[in-house]
Amino acid sequence: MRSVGRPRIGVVVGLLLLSGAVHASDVGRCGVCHSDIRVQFDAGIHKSEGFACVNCHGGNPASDDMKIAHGGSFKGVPGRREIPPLCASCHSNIELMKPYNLATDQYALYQSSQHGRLLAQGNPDVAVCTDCHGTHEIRPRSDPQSSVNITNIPKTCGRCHSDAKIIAKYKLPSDPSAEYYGSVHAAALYKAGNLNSPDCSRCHGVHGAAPPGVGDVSKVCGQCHATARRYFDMSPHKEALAAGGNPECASCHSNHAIAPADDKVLETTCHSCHEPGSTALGVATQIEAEIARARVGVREAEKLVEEAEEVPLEVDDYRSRLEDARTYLTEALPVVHSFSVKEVRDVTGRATSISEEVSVEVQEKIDRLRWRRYGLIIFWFYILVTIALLVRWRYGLEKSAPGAGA
Amino acid sequence: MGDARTRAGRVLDWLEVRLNITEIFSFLTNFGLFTAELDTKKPLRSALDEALARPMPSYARWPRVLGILTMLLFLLQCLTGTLLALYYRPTPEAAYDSVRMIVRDVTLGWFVQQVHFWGSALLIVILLIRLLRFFYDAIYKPPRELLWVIGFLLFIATTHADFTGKVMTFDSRNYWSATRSLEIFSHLPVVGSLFVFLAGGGDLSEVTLVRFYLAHIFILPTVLFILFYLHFQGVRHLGLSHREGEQSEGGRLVYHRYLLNLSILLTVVFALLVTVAVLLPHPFAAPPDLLSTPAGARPPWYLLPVYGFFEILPRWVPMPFKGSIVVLLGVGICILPFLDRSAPVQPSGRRGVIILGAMLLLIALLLGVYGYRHA
Repeated sequence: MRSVGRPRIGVVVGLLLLSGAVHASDVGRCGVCHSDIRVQFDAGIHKSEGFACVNCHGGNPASDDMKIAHGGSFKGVPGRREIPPLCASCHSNIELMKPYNLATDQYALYQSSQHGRLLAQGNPDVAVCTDCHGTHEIRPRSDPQSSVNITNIPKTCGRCHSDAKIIAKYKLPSDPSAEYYGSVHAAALYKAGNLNSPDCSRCHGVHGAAPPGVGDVSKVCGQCHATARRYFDMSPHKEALAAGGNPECASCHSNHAIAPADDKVLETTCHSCHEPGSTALGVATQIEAEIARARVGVREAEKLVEEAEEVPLEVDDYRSRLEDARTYLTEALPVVHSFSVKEVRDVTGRATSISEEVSVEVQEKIDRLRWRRYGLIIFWFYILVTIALLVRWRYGLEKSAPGAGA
Repeated sequence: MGDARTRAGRVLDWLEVRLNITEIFSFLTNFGLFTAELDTKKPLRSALDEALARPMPSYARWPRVLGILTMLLFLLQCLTGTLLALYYRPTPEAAYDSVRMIVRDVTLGWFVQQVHFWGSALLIVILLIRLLRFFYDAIYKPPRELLWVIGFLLFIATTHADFTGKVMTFDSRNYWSATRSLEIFSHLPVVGSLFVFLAGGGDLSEVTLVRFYLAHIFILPTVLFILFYLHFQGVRHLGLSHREGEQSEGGRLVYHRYLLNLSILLTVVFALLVTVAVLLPHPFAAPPDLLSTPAGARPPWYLLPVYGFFEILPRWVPMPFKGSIVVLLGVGICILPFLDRSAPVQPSGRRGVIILGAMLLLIALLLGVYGYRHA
């Protein structure tokens, strides 16, 4: 047993030494003293990509003697203004970033952003790379635990933009994160799990973060809501809002707390600018009525089709026609931005005409089943006649019987 | 008239030489149409004269017609079922479409299917009422013990026929209803395991559908036919039950009156069945979605008391224990004639037993309501 045991111990000790050597050459011996930072660093993406402390902080990672380790090229903790150029030393390097397919214009964009501009002016409050991405535990955007994952962005931006002191100091809009959480975009992202729903960066830019100018709002929203933007550009609102210096989409929909685009938007928002009894409000009411009428029509047709299916009647064709009607209903919502009753009616009218046609045809099919009830009346007539004959026969039998009444 | 009678008589005489018509008549009328025994060695007319001359209880009064009513409903089920089988295809892929074709595209297919559906429900209800009536009038005391046992087995076999029939439609409602029922069955010791084994497993596969189809169109109808035959054979052999004070009389008049009353009753029942089938059609459901249970999918009504019983007891009561109680109760009801050996036959003398039965029925009803709400 012993003779076998010794070589084994040798192997284990050898492996341990080897692993120590690998460790030392890998990220260095900084973790001997900075163990807490080492743990954070190990969880990040830079560690797995073969990065080490020395790449940012300099010094001699091979030694655990503080004087030697912190000697030579040692930079220590970089100042806030030094951080963006430090990160950019790799992230703006096309050759280095190529394998990761990462954009190399992030530093340039950052410099163009409100954050970058204020930093250049010596403002220490604005966000630098580490404020959003973290310092040592930098995770990739695709990692759900990352502070820049789409689900965490509103919280990350909110760390400063929902901070009452900062908001007051720079006269920023109050608590945009809380407003975002109540919006239709947040509902799509968090409840429906739609990862295409916009977070802060989708509208404000990622590294080039800046508030869209008054005239740019429809361009920003129009990236996704292209049809709505097209109809809006045709509408009288386009010029009127520009002349008054009001933001385009946000004037009705607000900027962060964007409500779902249902009929209520017409009811609530138009009144904030237009006088009661004005032509404009009349148009809004007409548009609302057009959409409501089409929606009710489609719903009634669907109910009839369901009723017919329970019979069952052949309704596959009507189902697909109603699918078309529903598509027109969805199409009608962006068309509302034209604020033209004619344009809206062009679309809702198609939905209404399909649903009316389907309703009439399905109702006819259901009505044709009435013969079953008429048949039942005739059936009962013959049943009653049969019963009457049988009763009469029995009566006659009792009467004619020799011992009747016994 | 006279000419026709003689012609009919001549045909009968010609046949009588070649076949035992009395034997055939005796067999065919076994199922409650003619309740006296015939001497099959004699020609039909003299055998009938002889049988009709004997006194028998005043026929065709409620509730003695229930027996023949169940038999005729069974025959109606056979007829409508055969018509449905002309188009039905028993595979999971084709079953739903073929049922939809029957009720949607085949002329009067919907009517046949609705009559089959409601006829089945009516058959079970009448068999149940009949059992209750047997219990109340003590038609399980010697020598009628087997009438009770067979009557109970008829009820059980009919519910099985109804259950397997519901699975045939293979729509979302019945698919999930059957899946839940199979769960109930799987908790019954011995009988449940046997049922699940025969069904080919606890879930509805192709094997289950084919076996249920075979059971529905061949095995169960054969079992029911044999049970009906044994039952009515026993009734004819022992004579109709009669209460104290009921008079017996005989003769052709009594028999004619019986046949006429029966015809009137059958006409009314058939008319009601057709009316219900037309006015209250059972809605056609969507194809089964194996991933989501639709709302309102619950076991068939006759299984709801069992389901309610399983649900109402706390969860820590082991399932085999709950199942054993149900099985023991079922066996107890089946062998009631051998458990209740008290002498009196009239309802007034069996108050204790009747109150016990009524309480059991009430509990079953309440459990059924509970099961319906919790399904």
